[in-house]
Amino acid sequence: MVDEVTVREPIIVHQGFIVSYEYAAGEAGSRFYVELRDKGNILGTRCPQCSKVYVPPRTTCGACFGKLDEWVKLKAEGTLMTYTVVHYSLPVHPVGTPFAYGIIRLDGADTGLTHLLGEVDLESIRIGMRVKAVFKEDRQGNILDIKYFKPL
Amino acid sequence: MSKEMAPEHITIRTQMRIPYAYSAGLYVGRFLQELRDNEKIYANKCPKCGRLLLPPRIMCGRCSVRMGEWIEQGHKGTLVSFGVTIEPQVDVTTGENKKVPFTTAGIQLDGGAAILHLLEETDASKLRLGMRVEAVFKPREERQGLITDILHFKVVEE
Repeated sequence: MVDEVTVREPIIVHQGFIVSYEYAAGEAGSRFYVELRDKGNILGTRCPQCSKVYVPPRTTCGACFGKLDEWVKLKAEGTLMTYTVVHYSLPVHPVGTPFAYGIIRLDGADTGLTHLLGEVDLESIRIGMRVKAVFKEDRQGNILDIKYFKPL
Repeated sequence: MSKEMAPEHITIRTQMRIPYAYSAGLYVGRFLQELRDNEKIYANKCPKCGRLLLPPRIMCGRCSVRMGEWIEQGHKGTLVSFGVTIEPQVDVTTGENKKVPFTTAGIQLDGGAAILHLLEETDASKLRLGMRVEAVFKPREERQGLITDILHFKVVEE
């Protein structure tokens, strides 16, 4: 019998959930990923009514509800709109810490693309800096076929 | 560029991982230590209503009194319920399907408390309520202070 309850050491139970799931990239997303994987091109869609260019592409314009069926090929260069440097490691991040996420507006696009920043001194990242996509050699048809964006 | 359909439809396969940790606390912490270090299964007793709680807790939720005596439950008990799972289902701790078949059993331990755990036998035709069962512990080096430090219960002849 344990007369007096004493803990010789605190017991910490480490657990967690792993939720596997999949989703269809859809008509626009599929075309975007196939082009990215097979040709290393970044595609967007342009709204025929208001001329807004979406990257990644969508099928409906959020600004005017126009149907987006005009495809445009973008240059793999753009401007850093904002960024964040991550120090706390979580399984959701595709790379180890420290690293930076950026939102990049590609030249000719009207929307921001969220991606990793690489080959960069984290202290020297500035809003407005020019960046360029670096593609993977072995591409699988997902957003990480772009390895990261590096400063120009 | 053209307006044709996507050449193929892409499916993105991914995982969401949600790690967390919690302190087992004074009572469950001690219970898990006894499992891990001494292969002992403990319950504690309510001084008012007399029921046993496994794992031990600090209060009796029915009587709102501080729980009392800790009573060792032994390794043996009697099978009071069981179910054999044959349909694969996701184990949320790994994200993979659990291996089937597996047997979940309610066991009345000789010390008086009941425990829900796995049973080694997965052939339901070989199981009967009232059978005697015994806890099988993992080797000391594999025990982590978790309820799974008991690998499973197995049927024993007496």
